[in-house]
Amino acid sequence: MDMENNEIFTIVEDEVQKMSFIQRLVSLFTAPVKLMQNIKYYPKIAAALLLCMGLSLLTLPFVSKITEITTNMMSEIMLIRYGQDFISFMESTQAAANNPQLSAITTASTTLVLLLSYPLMCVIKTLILFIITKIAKGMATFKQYASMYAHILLIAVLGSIITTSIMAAMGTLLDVSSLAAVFMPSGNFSMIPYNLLASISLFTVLEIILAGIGVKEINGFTNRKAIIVVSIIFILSVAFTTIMAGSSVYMMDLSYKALGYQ
Amino acid sequence: MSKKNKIIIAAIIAILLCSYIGFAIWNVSHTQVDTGIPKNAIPVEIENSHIETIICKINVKGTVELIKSETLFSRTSATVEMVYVKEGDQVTAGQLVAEYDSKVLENLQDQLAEAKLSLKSATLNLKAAQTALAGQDKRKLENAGIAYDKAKLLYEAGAITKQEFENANEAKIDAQEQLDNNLSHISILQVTIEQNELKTSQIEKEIENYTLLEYAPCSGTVLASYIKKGDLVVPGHQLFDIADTSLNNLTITAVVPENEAKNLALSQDVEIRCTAIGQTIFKGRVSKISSIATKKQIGNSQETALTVEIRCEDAPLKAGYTIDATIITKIIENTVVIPLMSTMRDADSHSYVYIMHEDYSVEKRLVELGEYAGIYVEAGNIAEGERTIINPSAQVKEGVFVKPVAIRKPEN
Repeated sequence: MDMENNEIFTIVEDEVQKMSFIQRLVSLFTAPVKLMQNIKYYPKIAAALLLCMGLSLLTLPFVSKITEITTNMMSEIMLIRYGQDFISFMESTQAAANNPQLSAITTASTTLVLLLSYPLMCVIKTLILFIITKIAKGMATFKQYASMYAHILLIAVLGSIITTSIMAAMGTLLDVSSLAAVFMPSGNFSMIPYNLLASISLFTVLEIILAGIGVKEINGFTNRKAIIVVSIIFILSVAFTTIMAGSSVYMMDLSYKALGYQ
Repeated sequence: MSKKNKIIIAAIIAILLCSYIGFAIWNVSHTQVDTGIPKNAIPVEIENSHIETIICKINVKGTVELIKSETLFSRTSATVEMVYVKEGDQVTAGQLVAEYDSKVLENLQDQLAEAKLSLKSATLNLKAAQTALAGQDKRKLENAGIAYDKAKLLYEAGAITKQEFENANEAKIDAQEQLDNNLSHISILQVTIEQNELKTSQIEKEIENYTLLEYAPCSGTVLASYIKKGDLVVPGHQLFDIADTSLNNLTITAVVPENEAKNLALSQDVEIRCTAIGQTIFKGRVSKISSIATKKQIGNSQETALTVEIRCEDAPLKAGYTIDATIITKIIENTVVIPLMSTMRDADSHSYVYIMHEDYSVEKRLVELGEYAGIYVEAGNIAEGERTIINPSAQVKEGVFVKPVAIRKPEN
């Protein structure tokens, strides 16, 4: 029985031609089904992941601006909620930022975090998808999913470059590709509905569609089953992002009380 | 699906995506423009300078103390027979407060009688000894001398034997010794008389000082009683503390740290609050300021401070109460004040504030600070209604733009 399966697999594999990395990149936008079929038989990770890491460094010039905007926003929230200026607490940090040596260390650590974030994201997303599809009796391997996400994350990197540059130019922390930019532009992350809308962006939707195609093609799932799996992933992802954004305000509340303020 | 259709669909999706992002950018920008606040303005808390009457105060804690109190001491050694007053009792000057046991006095009187008898006896003995010495003893010695002279002549003439001459000589020596003994006895008797006289004098003095009854030295309240029935007391033993506890004899003592003492003066008004009395605020006046500053414990630290006495004539105060006093040192009417939290100091110790203008730009301005009033301070070089930035962060500098934020005040 196993021998028979292997033979069928070998025959189909022969029918799916190998694609170069460039072809894969083009297919990501023009023929995602074809790309996912290719990943099923040729699950390559390194090139896509390295490209993700390299592209992620393009956001580096905007980091300081985004940090400044974040600090201002935190400060405003702290002022409104507690009557205390967050920036005042950070004066020592700012003084340290003026030190060239410390500034170099900060830049190096930011670069390192940027470089590592996408491989880490790839591993976590792959693991979650792998567990969920295993429950749904999927046949895909961890490597196939890792390859799939290595390619899908290119969309996330592109989205990140586009939105970060726009955010820095506009002086806002609001992701212009998110639903919050249209439906709740004056909100901030102390509001749960805002966090919910901000966690749903065009690029995350695109990612989830590609993941759905991948789950269907790699596992041979029906459309319905693939939709259910990616819906679970999407809901988990949105819930996690919303909770994390909201928890930062909750943590501020806790810290404020722990410091003895009322 | 044909390639052409694919391209059309892809183009439509791309246009929709771009339209969405374009609309989102416009939407976000529109929201920012509506507020009129420049992009990336630093959020700050703002408070307008305003006109206020400043009441300069010094808040101190004080204790109600007695101006004068009397302590009654025992003048004799005795056993306490009865204590007629207890702590808190009102007494008048001369009122009986305690009584001693009379046994000690009776004992002293017995001792005096005995000492007097001894003195009398010694005096009589001395008299008898002196009489004997003046009469019998001297005559006996003279007779023995005459008999010796006669016996010597007779012995030299050979009329009596040697034995008879020696007998006469011994009789003379005996008479001399007896006379000497009597002289010594007289001396001893004289010393005994002196001792008895001293003893009698001492006992008489003790009896004279002995008091069976103790009386209150002044009118007032018994603050403390240190004795009870059956206690043995000796001269100098503390018996009672008695003092007048009326307001006339009460004062409030408080310490004012040296850094707050510059505006302190006699007769300044004082607002007095005492939790033991209630929430009512009583009026008082500074009645005394110590002429030297000393180290005092204020809160948890040692500080150089002046001691101030405050008199209050209408509060039902009691000695020992703790009070909160507010000394009003100065009143400045209708002056411009700014929040204390908005003031900063540069390296040259010049005070300055950041002012937010209509266009949300920031101006750094040097100010002359005057008197402090709670969380506000009198400020020169600032007009009424100017917007000062409270607790400015390191980012706030001359020329930057700020965003005033409505602070959610804590509910009290």
